Amino acid sequence: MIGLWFLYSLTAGASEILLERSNHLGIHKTDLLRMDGGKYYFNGKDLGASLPAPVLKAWQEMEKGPLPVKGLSCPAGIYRFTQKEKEKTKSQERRGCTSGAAYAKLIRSLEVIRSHARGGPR
Amino acid sequence: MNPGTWLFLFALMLGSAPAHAKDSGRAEMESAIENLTRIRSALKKSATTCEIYDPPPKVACTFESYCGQMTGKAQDFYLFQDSEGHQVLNYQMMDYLSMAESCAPEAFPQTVIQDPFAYPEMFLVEQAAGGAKKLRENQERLQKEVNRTQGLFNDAQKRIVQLLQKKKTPGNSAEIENMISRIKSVRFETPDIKMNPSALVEYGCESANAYFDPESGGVKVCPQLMNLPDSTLLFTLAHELGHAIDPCRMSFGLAKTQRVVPEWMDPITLPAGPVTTPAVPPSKNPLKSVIACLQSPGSIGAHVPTKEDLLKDIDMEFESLKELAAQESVPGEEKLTDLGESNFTEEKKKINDHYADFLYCEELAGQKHMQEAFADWVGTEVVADKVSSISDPQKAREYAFASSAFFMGADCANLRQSLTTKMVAAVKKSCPDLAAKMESFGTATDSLTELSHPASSRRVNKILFSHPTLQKALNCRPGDNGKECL
Repeated sequence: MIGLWFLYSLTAGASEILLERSNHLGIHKTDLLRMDGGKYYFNGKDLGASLPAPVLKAWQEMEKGPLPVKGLSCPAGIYRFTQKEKEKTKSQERRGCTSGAAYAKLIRSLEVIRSHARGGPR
Repeated sequence: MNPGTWLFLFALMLGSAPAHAKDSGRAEMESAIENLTRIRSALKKSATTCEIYDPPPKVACTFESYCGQMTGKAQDFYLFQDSEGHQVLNYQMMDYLSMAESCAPEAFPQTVIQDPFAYPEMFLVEQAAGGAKKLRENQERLQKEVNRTQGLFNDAQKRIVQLLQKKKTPGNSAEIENMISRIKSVRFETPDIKMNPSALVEYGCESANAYFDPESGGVKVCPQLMNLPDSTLLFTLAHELGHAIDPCRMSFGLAKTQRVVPEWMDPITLPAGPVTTPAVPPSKNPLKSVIACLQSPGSIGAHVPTKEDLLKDIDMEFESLKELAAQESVPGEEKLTDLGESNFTEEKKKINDHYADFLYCEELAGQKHMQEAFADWVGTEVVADKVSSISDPQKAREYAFASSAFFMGADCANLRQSLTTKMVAAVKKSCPDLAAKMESFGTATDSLTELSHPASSRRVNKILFSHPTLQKALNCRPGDNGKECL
């Protein structure tokens, strides 16, 4: 039974989130969150199989993705949020503006994870 | 072998293999920390010994040529410094360093240097600044730079008005006056320095940024930009002001400073109020010869999709929806396709009815290369006007070069390549996944940026460094440049 659980945790939940953004002046940033074999990876850095509660919450927020916000254009810049489940061949893609409350909320979650990956705030 | 021996050997393997792995993992991590410490020390040293950059004469007047001259600065904290001490950050290096540092958690609790323009949380958070006194000093320094930036904004505004006045003829006087009143109405906006880092992101300042906000009618400038050299800022601010009169923006009327969005484009938002500045359709745009020039292959060749292209795209999208519906046919699918059809018909009607007036707009055409090319043209004219007033050739050369320095800091391909090699080598053993990711970022073309802007190299080569005044000041050889648009 334990072996079965071990095998499941190695294969289940493999997913990838890519957040690319480019601002109006052409500065681009990319971050990659991946869960594979039961482990969390941030920009390729192995964060282990479990995360502290606030970091896990931030990870889950990232998995939900940005809230769709209506706008005619994105003067500050644009992001592309791509979510891919390992079992599925197609990925989901959402685009939006790199300003506003919904985007700031997403980046807050991202920064919690980044800070954890770096070993704390500075 | 009896089962007990097997179990013993298995237990031994479980116990010893991780111990070996742990030892080698620790050694690799120590080596990564050592490599990153060396890189950070070199960056710190480069920041404190940064010298004024003197652009070399007689090289080709191209982005690639100047990027090539800067290869040695790939691992410097600042890519450029002018004689006033204002600096252009090596933005690509900062991005890579931030990624690489996550390979060695807790090893680098301090930022490389104490530059609040590189780490804007130092303007906002006492702990990040290094105490209350330091925070106050940083905020005072920012206020000084806000005042300088505001002064450059006013200068850019004045020079654009003069440029427009020179374009006035008896036949276009009303339209030129319309443009002048739009330029004069643009406000300089910057976030409150007392806000928190998240509010800064909300404002559009996650990274160094400036943009024209069509909703407020203001130019928003992020604090991270405010230590740039005068010339870099003047070009950037004039570019953003240029958006106030770009070929798309002119298609909208204004209610005071806010654009009036037609109901077909946005049926939900309430109108901004009665029109105080009327729209000028492309057919009456007094700068239509500039617009046509920027579209031509001799210049930047700004792409403007034809009406037929846009209609064809809608048809193709509808066809693929129908194919998808046929493949994944479920009860009720027909209704979904019907609904899709009515949406697509509506979209086609919008294009048929409004293409002539809004062909340059992202809201209708899906991209804004013409808007950006036009804003670059305005920025170039303003910088050229300023350069022509500088009598000292050395200062004129520095000013002309620095107008392009932001593009260099953000986008030189050779600098990115050199950084990728260095950073990947530093973390490859301890964080192989991170190294692989860096390699892929280093080679990927940024399709996201290309959606909204022409490539930096084309913007510099075909517009900025195509201007005869800037070529003369730079004392460079014409290379892959475009024709001057008049």
